[in-house]
Amino acid sequence: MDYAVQSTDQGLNISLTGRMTLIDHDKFRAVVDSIERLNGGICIFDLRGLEFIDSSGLGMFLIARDVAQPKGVDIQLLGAQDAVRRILQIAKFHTLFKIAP
Amino acid sequence: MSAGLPPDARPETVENVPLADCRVLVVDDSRFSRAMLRRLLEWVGIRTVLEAGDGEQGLALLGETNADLVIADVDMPRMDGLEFCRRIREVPAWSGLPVLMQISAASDPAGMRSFEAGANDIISKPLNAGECMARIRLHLEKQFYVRRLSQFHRRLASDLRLARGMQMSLIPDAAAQQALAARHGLALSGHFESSEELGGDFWTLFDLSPHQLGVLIADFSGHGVSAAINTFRFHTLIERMPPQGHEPGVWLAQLNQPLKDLLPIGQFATCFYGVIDTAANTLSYAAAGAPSPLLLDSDGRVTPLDASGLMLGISSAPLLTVDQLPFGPGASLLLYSDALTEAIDQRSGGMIGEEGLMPLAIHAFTGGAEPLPRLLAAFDGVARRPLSDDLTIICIHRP
Repeated sequence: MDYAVQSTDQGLNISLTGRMTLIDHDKFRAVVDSIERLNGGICIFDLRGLEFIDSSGLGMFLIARDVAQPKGVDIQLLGAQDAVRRILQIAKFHTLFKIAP
Repeated sequence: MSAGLPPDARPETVENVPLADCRVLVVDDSRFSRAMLRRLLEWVGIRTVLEAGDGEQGLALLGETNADLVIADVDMPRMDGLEFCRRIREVPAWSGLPVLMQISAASDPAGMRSFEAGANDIISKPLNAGECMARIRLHLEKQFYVRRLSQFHRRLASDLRLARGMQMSLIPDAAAQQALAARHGLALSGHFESSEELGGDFWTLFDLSPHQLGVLIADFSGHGVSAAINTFRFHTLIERMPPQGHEPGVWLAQLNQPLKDLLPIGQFATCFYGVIDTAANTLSYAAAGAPSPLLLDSDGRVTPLDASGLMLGISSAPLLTVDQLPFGPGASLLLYSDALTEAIDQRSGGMIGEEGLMPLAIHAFTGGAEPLPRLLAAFDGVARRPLSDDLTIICIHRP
C-alpha cells in the first residue's frame, strides 16, 4: 500500500493505493498520527486507487476511527472500487463510517 | 539516549562475544608460527589454543574435541592446508566451522585455491599482527551470532510446532466430524490449513439435539501468532458460553460482548454460525462479516447467502445478519474462509472471487460423494500457491 496525506480546508485527504494488508500496519501508524494532530474536521480516505483490503486493513480503519472519535474528527471512505467496496459491504462498515461512491 | 526515537528505531544492544570461552585450533608445521599465532590469540582473549603439526593431526584433533575456529597453513607435510580444508567441508557438522588459511606468495598467491577448498578467509604471510587479530575476532563473532540465531530459530520452530499441534486440537478431527455428522444424517468434511505455522481460522461442530447440528466458522483478523492466540481465547469463550438453547443470532451477540472487551481495537473475528435442523428441514444462521456461504440444491443451483455484518469484537452494538432457509434432502452447504475467494486465479491474475468459486462448487457437489477433495483439486488447478492467508473449507451435504 502507498499513501499520500494532503491537508484540506476541512481537515485531511488521505489517498490509499495498492493492497492494504497486514504488512502495512507500520505505515498506517503515520496516517493515524496525522489524524491525531487534527482537532475536529473531516478526514477523507480516498480509496479509488485501493485494489484490495484484507481483515488487517479493515482493522486499521477501526484504529483510525478510534483515534478520530475523541478528537471530533469525522472519517469518510470515498470511491471504493469493486473488491474493496464488496468487503466494506460485507463488514457493514457503513454503520461505522460515512461511505460514499 | 534513545528517548526521541520510536521504539522500532532503537539500536539493538550488541552482546559481548565470550571470546575467552572460544577454542581455536592452529594447524601449522612450523613451531615458530604456532607460537606466534598462540600469542596473537591470547592477545585477542582466547584461553584455549590447540595445536597440530599437519592436516592429518589437525583432523584427528578436531574429531576428538571441538573448535570454534581453525587457522591452517597452506604448506604442510603429509596433508597440506587445502586438502585439510576440503576434508573439513566434507563433514556436515563442520560445514559452518570458520577456517582461516595462511597463504604465501609462493603457495597460493591470490588465495583462490584456499577459497575453492572451502576456506572462509585468508591471512597473508608474513603475518601482520593487527590484521590477523582483527580477522580472528571477526570470524569468531560471526560464528557466535550465527550460532545464537540458529539456536533461537530452532527453539522458535519447535515452539511453533508444539503450538500448531495445540491449535489443530481445537478443530474437530476428521473421524469425530464425520461420526457426528452421520448421526444427523449428514455428510460433512472439513479442510484446515494455515499460511504460517499458526493461523487465525477456527471451526467446530455442536451436537445441539438429535435433529440439530450446529456449525461455527470464524476467522480472526491478521494471521500468525496473535491471530492464533485469539482462536484459543474464542475456544475458551465458547466452552464457557455454549450455544445450546439459543437462537444463532442471540448466541453470536452473546459471544460478541466478551470479545469486544478482550480484543484490542483493530482486531476482530468474522463469523458464521448455522444450525441445520433435519426435522424442520431448515438452515438457520447468524453471520458477522463472513464470506458468503454457498447453498446448493439437488439440481446444482447455487445461492450465495448474505453473511454480512459487523465482525465480532468491534462494537457493543452487534449488527448481524440472521436468516432461515429451507435445507431439505439433496441440499448442500459450502462454508469457507476468505482465503478461498481471495486466492489469485493463475489464469487471469485476479482474485478467484465468489463468481470464480461458484463453478468450482458446482463441479465439487454435483460429481458424487466426497465433494471436498474435488473442490480442493479444482481450487489447486486454478489458485496460485502459496496462499497468503489461512484456509478453511467445510462441505456439508444432506443426502
